[in-house]
Amino acid sequence: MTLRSLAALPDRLMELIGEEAHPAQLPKLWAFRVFLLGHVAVRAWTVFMSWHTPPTWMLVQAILFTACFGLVLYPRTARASCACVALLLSVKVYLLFPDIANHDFLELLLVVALTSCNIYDADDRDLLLRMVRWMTVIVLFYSGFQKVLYGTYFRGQYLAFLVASVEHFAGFFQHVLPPDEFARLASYDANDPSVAVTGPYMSSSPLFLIIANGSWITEVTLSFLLVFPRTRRFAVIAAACFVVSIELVAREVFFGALFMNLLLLFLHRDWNRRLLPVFAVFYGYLVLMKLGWIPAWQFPN
Amino acid sequence: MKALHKERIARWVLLAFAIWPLVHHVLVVRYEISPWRLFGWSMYCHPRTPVGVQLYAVRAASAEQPERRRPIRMKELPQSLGEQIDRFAKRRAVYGILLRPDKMAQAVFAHWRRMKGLDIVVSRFHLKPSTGMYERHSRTYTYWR
Repeated sequence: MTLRSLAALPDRLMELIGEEAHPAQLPKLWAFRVFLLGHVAVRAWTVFMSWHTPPTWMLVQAILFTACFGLVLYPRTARASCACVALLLSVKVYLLFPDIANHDFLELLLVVALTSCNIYDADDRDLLLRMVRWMTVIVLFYSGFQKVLYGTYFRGQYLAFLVASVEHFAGFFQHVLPPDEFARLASYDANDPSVAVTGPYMSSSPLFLIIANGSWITEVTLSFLLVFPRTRRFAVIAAACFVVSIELVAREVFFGALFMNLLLLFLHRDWNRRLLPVFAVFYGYLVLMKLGWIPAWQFPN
Repeated sequence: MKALHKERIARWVLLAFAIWPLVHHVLVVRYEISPWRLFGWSMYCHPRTPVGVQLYAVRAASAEQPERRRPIRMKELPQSLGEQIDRFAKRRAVYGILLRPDKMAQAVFAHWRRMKGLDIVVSRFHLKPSTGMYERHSRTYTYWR
């Protein structure tokens, strides 16, 4: 690889993940912007409602996020409301740092990107789409690659630990593991700090190992397939199915919904806009569940 | 802001976004920072383990008697010190060994003026990939007045 081709690499990479300008880009990004601010507002309320004695700043922040969500629906106030949300999220990061979840940081970056770009300008729209797509690819890639670096999936070590210590993981993997293996893992009490050593957290069950290793292989592979136009549609559908299957067990619904919307941005058509009502209903359901107005379905996150 | 400048900033942000998780991994391995925090995308790679803190009052060895170590129970501590220990444990869980308990030791000595020596044992569990064992690792910090 020559120096000239290396210097051209960033241009090539940005070009690769982009697409030809077309009419669906504006409604797609408009819908994503609306979704993201709605997502931030709903999360703020569900977190507020989770605390026994929430701090006042959480209530203030949730109210302001809701107001900004209302303003994002109007073109004249949309970017200003994004800027406001970016500021509020920065305050949240500052107040909670370093105990900030990774997806909080991702939300902040996405809102900053939306604030910086005018979606009604063709060049900005193009740049925004490329940026957000690359961020999605990087997150998906590292979600898998880090599992390789830590080495805790090759023999299912981390999943075995989850089986032993988290009820809904045990509930799922009870149907995957042989009964004696499951009983062995379930007998370990990893949450007892007085016990210095527990384990071994691993299994030789073929199906269990396929699931464990399949997760990081899928994440790394799909991250590459999302980059190339020819494999993009397949990668979006596969990644969406993968995210749904993970969230059925892990139940991190908010991050799952955010990631689904990020994946939809890879498609040519404005699926973000078409599915916005579905996400709105789903988030409404989560809020009603949190309020206790409908039976809870064990969505901890 | 001009389109060219925006593009340039976007590329630098993406570059940092792409490289940081590798740096994060090195920090986890070397300094035991939390895989779940600080934006390394390594959640679900290792259990989230809380940090345990145990204090011991230490009497130095003399000609008449050997060194003695007495555990200090949490109920012996004033509320402010207990809260300081909780805060330390939460921050230690994120920053790993980059965060030492020196200030905590100063606070303990300020509270117990007769105490000559103090051991602060900071422990954390680790899932060892090669064996699948979940083991407690402890580090002892010794302070003398």
